[in-house]
Amino acid sequence: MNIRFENVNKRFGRTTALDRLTLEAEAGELMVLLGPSGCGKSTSLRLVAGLEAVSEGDIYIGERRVNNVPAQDRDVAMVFQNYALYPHMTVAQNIGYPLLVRKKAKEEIAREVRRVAEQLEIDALLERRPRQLSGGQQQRVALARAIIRHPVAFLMDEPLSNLDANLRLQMRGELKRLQRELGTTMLYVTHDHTEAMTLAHRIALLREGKLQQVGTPMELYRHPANQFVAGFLSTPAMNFLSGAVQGSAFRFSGGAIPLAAEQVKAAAGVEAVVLGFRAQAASLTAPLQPGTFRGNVYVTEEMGSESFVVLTCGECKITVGAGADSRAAIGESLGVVVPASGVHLFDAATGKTVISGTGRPVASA
Amino acid sequence: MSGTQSQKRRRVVGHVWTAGKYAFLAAMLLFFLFPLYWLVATALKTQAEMFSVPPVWWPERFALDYFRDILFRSSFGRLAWNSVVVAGGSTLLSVVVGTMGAYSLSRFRLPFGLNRHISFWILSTRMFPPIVSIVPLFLIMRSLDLVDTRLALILAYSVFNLPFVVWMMKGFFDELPRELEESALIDGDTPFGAFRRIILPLVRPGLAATAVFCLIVAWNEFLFALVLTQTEAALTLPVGIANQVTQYEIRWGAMSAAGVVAMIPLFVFALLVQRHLVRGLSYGAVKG
Repeated sequence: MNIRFENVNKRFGRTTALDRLTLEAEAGELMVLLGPSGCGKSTSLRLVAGLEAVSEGDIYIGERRVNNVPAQDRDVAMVFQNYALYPHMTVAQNIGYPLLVRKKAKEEIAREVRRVAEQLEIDALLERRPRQLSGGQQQRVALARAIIRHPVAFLMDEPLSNLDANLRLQMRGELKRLQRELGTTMLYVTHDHTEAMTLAHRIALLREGKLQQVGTPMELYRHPANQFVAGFLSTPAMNFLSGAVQGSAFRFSGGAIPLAAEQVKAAAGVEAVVLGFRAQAASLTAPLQPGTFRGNVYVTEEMGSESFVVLTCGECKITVGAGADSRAAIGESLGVVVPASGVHLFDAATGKTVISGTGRPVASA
Repeated sequence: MSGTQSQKRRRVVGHVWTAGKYAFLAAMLLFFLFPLYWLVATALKTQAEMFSVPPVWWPERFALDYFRDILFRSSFGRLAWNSVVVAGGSTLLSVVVGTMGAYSLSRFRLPFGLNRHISFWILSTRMFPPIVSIVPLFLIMRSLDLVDTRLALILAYSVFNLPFVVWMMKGFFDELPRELEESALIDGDTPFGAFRRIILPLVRPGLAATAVFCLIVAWNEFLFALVLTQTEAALTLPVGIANQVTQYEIRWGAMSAAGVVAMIPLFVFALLVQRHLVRGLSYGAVKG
């Protein structure tokens, strides 16, 4: 079922956790609520679950307005960051609990528990207690408990953040498959943008209680609505240079970057401009080539399959991708090439995107 | 060479230290167990042995007369039953009410920092000596026509034990992550169902520890029982035992025998819940 926020405000005392959030996750969609800590993403989830009440606005699950529906009657399932397994119950009892409280027959509970346990490959663990399980196994038990009763929606609150790196990648894939198989709407909260990019049908990016942008991962990546979205979805962090558009180039303290005609046109009338580009979009060449600006190698970071070179140019420090076998040496002077297609221009006053690449200007959310 | 010597010295110091520790423990044990030994011994002595100088450490023959007297020829049974009813009733009442209060204080966010203020207010009722409240309490009980009833003691002890129960249990509840109930609610359980099926089983060790303390306090309480009861209808063991000190004589033998018998139920109970008791008291000390 679809989940809809309509002008939802949530305040805790004097702090505003959510500010006029309007957002809809469609039926069967996996929507990731992404943002730094304190952005209101977990709060949104708890509002849908019924663990918190909205200050203003409405929340709908399907066509039902659930503002005043208690948590136990909303028929959603939630997986918590710490899994919240019941420590005094066996795995089987944990998984069967949602059916137990619905007063289902013993045989039916046992049958269903076995079914989901097999589906998640934890059927050998049914008689154990949560503390006897590894983190990954606990995670599966929490998932099993969520899927056993076919809820109208799944709510995931950073479900993978307590797992070690390898297991996280593995579970990420399984979670995605599981959601696609069940076709159940899922709201998924995380602060990890790679998790968001890989899992989501659509991402809703929040900051300080305000929705920044909603869209598919590639939409957000290619056409961020503002500087914050662009920066949040980049690894390593996006390079931002402050300056102004003069003639057909962007000029800043360390030099100039040539722009395309569309970019110059779009930036007309914007006094102070921030130019952003991702490390992967730029490349290095010999110094003093036309269309490049000069940087001095500050440090290099080899990652095996790729490497990054950090350079200083004037007062700024930038990171540029350099392929697997970069031979840049610390102190060396190099030319930096930033193709117009990899350039994002932002209005320094508002932070809003002026133009991304040479493509269409994006309206902000 | 000097290395092995200093090693040897360290070992000797270690032994001395260990011996010292055990000597200290033995002294403490002696200190605490001697009154107990003396109580049991006195109960088994004859009148002559009790007052002989030098003292008789080990009774010549075990005189069970006093035990026979108090068990079969006195109102001891009646008083013991009163004690059981009063201690059991007040423990049950204070634990049930106090646990629910503690859960509310632990989980529900009240405005104006009321959680803190109410908790402190509850604790503050334990800050004055109980004797201060005894006259008003007596007047209240009299106007309710409850003087010399077991109910009066049950109510009085429950009120007295409530702050303790609330503070103990609040600590145990605070240890449990909120997500447990939140998860239970989302799984479709009612708030009370989540409390009964999830939270209560998890605080059982704490509950046991708290109940034992309530029971001990109620079982041994003397002052309220002295003032609020008059006849065998409600007299409890501590007062009954003290009544062996009469105008004409002090019945040491009967007192000691009654004291020994009165100790037994608590002793047995404490043994039964010992496992829970230790777990309850060290609960939360180590995050598991």
